[in-house]
Amino acid sequence: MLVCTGRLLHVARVLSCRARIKQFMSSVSGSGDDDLANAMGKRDTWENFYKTQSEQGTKQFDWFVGYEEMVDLVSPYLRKQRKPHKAHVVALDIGCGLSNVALQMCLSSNEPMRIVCADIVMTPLETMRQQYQSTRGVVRNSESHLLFTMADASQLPFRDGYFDVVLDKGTTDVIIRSSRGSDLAKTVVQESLRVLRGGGHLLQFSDEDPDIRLTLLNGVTRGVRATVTFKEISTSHGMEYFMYVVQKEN
Amino acid sequence: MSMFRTVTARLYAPTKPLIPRFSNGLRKYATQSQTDLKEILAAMIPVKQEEIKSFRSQHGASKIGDIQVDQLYGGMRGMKSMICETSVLDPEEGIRFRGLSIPECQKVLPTAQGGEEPLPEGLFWLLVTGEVPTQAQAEWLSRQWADRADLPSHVVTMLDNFPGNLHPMSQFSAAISALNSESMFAKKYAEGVHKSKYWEFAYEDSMDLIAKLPTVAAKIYRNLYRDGSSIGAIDPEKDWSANFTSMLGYEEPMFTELMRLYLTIHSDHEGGNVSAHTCHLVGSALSDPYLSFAAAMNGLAGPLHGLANQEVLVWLTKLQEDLGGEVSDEQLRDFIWNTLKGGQVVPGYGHAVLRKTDPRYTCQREFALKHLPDDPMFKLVSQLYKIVPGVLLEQGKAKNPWPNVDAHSGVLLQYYGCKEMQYYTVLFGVSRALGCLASYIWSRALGLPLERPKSMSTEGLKKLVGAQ
Repeated sequence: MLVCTGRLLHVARVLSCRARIKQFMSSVSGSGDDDLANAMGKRDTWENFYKTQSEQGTKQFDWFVGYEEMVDLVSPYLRKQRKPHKAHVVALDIGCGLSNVALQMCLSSNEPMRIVCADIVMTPLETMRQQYQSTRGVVRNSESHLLFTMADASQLPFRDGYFDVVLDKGTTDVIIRSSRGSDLAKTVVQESLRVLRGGGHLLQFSDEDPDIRLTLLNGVTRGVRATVTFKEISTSHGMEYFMYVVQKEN
Repeated sequence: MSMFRTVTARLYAPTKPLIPRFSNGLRKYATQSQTDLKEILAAMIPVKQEEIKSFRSQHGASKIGDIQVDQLYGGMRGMKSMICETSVLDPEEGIRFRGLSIPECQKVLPTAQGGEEPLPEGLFWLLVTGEVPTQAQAEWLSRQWADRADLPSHVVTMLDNFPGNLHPMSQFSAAISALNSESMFAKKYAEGVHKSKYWEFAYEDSMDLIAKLPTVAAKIYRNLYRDGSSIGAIDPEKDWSANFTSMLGYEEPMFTELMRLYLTIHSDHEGGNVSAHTCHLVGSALSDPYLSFAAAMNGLAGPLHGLANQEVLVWLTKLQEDLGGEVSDEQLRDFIWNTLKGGQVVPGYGHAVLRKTDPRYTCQREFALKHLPDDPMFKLVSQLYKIVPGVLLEQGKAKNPWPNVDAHSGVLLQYYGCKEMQYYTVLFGVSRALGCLASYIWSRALGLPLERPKSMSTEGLKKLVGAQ
């Protein structure tokens, strides 16, 4: 009897898992224009992606690496940024989606942090805003806060030099694949640099190989006062990721 | 010649700007009627030397990048540090051989009579000259190589005496080193020939070595896997790949077509990879082409460099066993999902350099669709191609979820009966000779010096950056 129930539960779980996978797969690699594999650069693809995530009740989705893998890599750039007259370390996460990195950073920072989470689609921002509101009590520094806004990474609604750090996790990877591809990606980097203060850092997390990404970044920073470096990030599951760092000169 | 190529390239890539090729200034030297590669090179070399001299006099002191501490510990990844004229990686289109992408090569390079796949002879001509060869020029190379293919008896004896458990790559590398008894470069160097003539002997040795590699490789194959049966005689009428497959003991014409494709696409991949860099590094000490290329093969034998296609086939074979035959897309999806979720990788996926599927994968896939669409292993590979990228995306693991070249090569080889997976790297090596040796000739022609970068100790680095 117990064995039977166990088996039924197992089957039910597998079926529901399969159903979810199937539903997602059809949005990821279906033959329509909006499938993720072939139309990653289109805004509609992401509207659908986040709609599906929302329907499934997914509260968090991080590309490549999550907070645990990133925190030690990113914190040196946050610490360095403190200016005496400024209370907060101010960071921008462009194309934040359902990443909870900004949330975790905000909650666990000893110093006051202000992080703006921006994306070109509204749905994930709403989910993240709800999550943020439900965790308000556990923030380590009461002056830290998160802001959510829709924004186009190629036309940021922020003034020059406002941010200490810009985070780009998987966003340029998407933009490169849009119809204006590299040109748009260059604009995004230029915008990120514009809104960074002198000495500020743009941190791009990607699975893109250095030979390719460095070509792009060096192309953008030619003639601009910025330096490009990168670090390899190894993970437990054998995939290779990289953190590309573009520092705006003082 | 270049005009034809320029027009053709524009026809097939109308929206992409042409990547400038060095041959722009050399059109008047390479004529269609000339077939002697050495003569053509002799005319090109002074022009290229002048171009570089002029470039360096204007920009020799220009800064092109910064170096960080991490890069020294990180295998110099991303550090611009050497010259390679033969191929450049285009982030969108994949590797470009002297400016031509693989699809472009497939369209313009000569094929065998009655065949569809490009002749590796044609690719070698392109790598060396920067010009697309005519049919006559490619066939000239075929005859040259057929002429130069025989082995000295001591190398035959050596190969016949290797134990059966000595890895094919070790045998390959050892034989290549031993072939340097034939090196004209070494001989002339010892005689004190002037350095302006080095390239001529580098050329002769390279042509000899490329010609002999299939013979060596086939001997190794026969000894290890076909009871030491005879490789037979070289046929002066056959092209390089056709002689190779005959010597290996394969009759099927499509296998020869596959070999032509395979030997073409694996020939070169910029200069920084272990095999190309090693050949260049060792050659910079004026080691002859045989020694330099043998060193390259030792690098190719390393698991991180040349073993990937073997690993893919091993994994695929195991997958077939685990699945027990054909499975539905759903079942395979579940299997892949669990594999990836469990922290394992799918060999051939996940280290994609390009923003789309590598053309070297695509052309192999197209070959399979044409010639072996119902092969069970190909069907599995096809299924994986349909499913794995989606799962990698779905799990947020990659935005470059595409397969690389190694995800496909083993499948094609095993279809024609070449199932000895340990041997695959030897085939890769035979192909890579085209790129390595084309570069070797030019390195001697341009007088590139001994390569000797500055090394730092951790102590020294700490001092340099002011660390405690």
